[in-house]
Amino acid sequence: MDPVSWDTGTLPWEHIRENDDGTLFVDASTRVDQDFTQEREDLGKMIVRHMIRCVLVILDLSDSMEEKEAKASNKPGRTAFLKQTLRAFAREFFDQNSLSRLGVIGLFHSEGHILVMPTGNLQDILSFCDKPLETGGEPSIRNGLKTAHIVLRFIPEYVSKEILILYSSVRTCDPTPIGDVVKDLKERSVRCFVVSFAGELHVLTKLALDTSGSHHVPMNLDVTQQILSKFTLPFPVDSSSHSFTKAIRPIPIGIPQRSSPEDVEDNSFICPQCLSKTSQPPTDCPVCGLLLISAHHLSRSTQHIFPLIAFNQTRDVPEICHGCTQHVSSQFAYECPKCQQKYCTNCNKFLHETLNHCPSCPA
Amino acid sequence: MTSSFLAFKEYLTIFILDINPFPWTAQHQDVSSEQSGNQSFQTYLQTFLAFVSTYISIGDGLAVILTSSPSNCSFLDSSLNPTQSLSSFAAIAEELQNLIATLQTVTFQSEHSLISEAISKALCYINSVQIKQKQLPGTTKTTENPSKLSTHGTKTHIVVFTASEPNPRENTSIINCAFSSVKLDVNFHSCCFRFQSQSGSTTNPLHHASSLSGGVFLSLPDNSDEYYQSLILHLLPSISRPDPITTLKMAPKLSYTVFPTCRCHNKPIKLGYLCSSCFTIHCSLPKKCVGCTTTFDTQGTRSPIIFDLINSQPSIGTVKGLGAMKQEPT
Repeated sequence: MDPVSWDTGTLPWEHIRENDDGTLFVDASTRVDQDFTQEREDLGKMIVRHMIRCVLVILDLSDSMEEKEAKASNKPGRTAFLKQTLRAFAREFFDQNSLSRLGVIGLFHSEGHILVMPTGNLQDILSFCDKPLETGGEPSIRNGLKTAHIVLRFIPEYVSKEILILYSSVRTCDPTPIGDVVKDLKERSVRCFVVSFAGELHVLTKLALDTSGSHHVPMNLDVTQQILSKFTLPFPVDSSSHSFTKAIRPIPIGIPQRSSPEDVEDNSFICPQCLSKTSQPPTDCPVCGLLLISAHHLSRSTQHIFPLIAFNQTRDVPEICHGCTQHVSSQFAYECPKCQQKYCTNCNKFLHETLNHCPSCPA
Repeated sequence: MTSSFLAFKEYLTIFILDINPFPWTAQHQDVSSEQSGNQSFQTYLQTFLAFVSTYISIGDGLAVILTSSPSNCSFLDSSLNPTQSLSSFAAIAEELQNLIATLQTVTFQSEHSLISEAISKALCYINSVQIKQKQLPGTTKTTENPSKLSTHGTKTHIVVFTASEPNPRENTSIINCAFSSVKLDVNFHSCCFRFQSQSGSTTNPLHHASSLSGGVFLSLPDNSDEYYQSLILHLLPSISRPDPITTLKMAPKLSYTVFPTCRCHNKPIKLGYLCSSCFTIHCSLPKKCVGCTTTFDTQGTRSPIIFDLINSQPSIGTVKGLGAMKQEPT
């Protein structure tokens, strides 16, 4: 029998410490060591990844979203939580994948409705989250996947196609079994990832396993954020797969200029190919369809192609961290192999996951 | 140093001060001009100290000062005092003057200071502060305030004071810092002294970083009489409030466009081709990627003529390094 988490994992009360003034706080330094050590092996290496992605987020907007939380009037409703989760996910997704697309599909009244077409503009997703959401009826996983398949059908082969399902019901109302839709998704190499807030559903687990995805059931907000944060990283390419190599293409791109040096208030740009006015890149030109990107987003996109090399973990802990100049309380420090400067655990995580360069060694 | 006091502070600003006197004195050949260059450098420092003291005196903010020179960058220990007030500002001024005096024995031959290292250290400091604030009991959590994703009760800013453009080798690092500051919800502002923009556009990477993070970029020409007034008018309203003022658009805005260089000819391009695997930029339709050596199936096709025509036009604002590959991917 598999051991449960409270038998083998760390106990929550072990990390509680007391301040000098008597207040209690959670000392997460050791936990950060443990969590980051598991990810570091993957982050420091130069791995070929799916850099251009098209992700469709399927939201469960059925009548389960209208349920109110019992005895918790100060907590937001389920819809507000979903919007907040989507906002945070979209921000981090576009930070990690500058040239990718994100779309939203809603499941309500037993149908899958396209709420936001795949877009490369973060503001489209944020403005969608600011509007009231229509909820009600039964959720239908099959119809949602069918709608997603229609949208992804026109995406080129070199783009990694993924579906992220945020599900909060314990049932699905489908006209027919989802086997044929799953088969179509597998043929198009679409991967499905499921995050269930209500509980594990066998149909969703089978969907995730058949499409080389994963199914998660988070217990709280922190775990949800960790799961979605891990999803935002581009997935490594399967070395045994030849389809990725065959699908590599040269993509025509353009670098748009400002409409005029004097007028920068309207934040408009000019397509270099057809000279039409466009919005802020990254975007597609509405006239000629050329992919318009800025040099800064391109530079930021290479953070996964040229990641910061992994620092060496050492027990020779300095008194002060070279990065944040704070006292190092952890039993480990991390040393840059180029400049031999030592950093604390928090700075090591920040440098590898966000900044992508050592302060003393310019990128 | 504990960060519990920051739970009661409304905003935190990290001032990065370039203390390299070379840009102020290098252009002068005779002794009298060199003395005027030193005088300008001292005026620049005094303007900075006056501005920081004004910032401390008007509100509930904390000013942390980070100095940057061609050989070193470090925090001023006296500015890390959690009980900072106008009365303790004299200690900050004295420590800065002592630091300048020790540096006068060293002759810097480089006009470039370690700006990207200073900005990176400032971001590491802000990150550690935000982590400690999350652990404090009673800190506002995102579930209780869904409209604000990263509220920790303290709004943070980074302001760079410099008299020269950063080293071109640091361009990518500065842009990385800009994106990281957006992620940490930090506004990045720049004040470039003795800097003249050309025909309303600029290639200064600090300007790009300020624009990306929604901060203020000030270019102050060589007129020391107007330094303090310009800083008070254009910069102080943005950093002395918990929410930056967006309605008062008083700082003159400059436009810029950065063109990446192609890997094959190292020339700036406006139209080109991007490898979908390794993001190598080519100026014309390639048969084989220069970066990952993948052979493309482009038999019988060529890039449109318009690509060559538009790329041959002179482009304003070229920043080398962006888009060019540095290592061979595995």
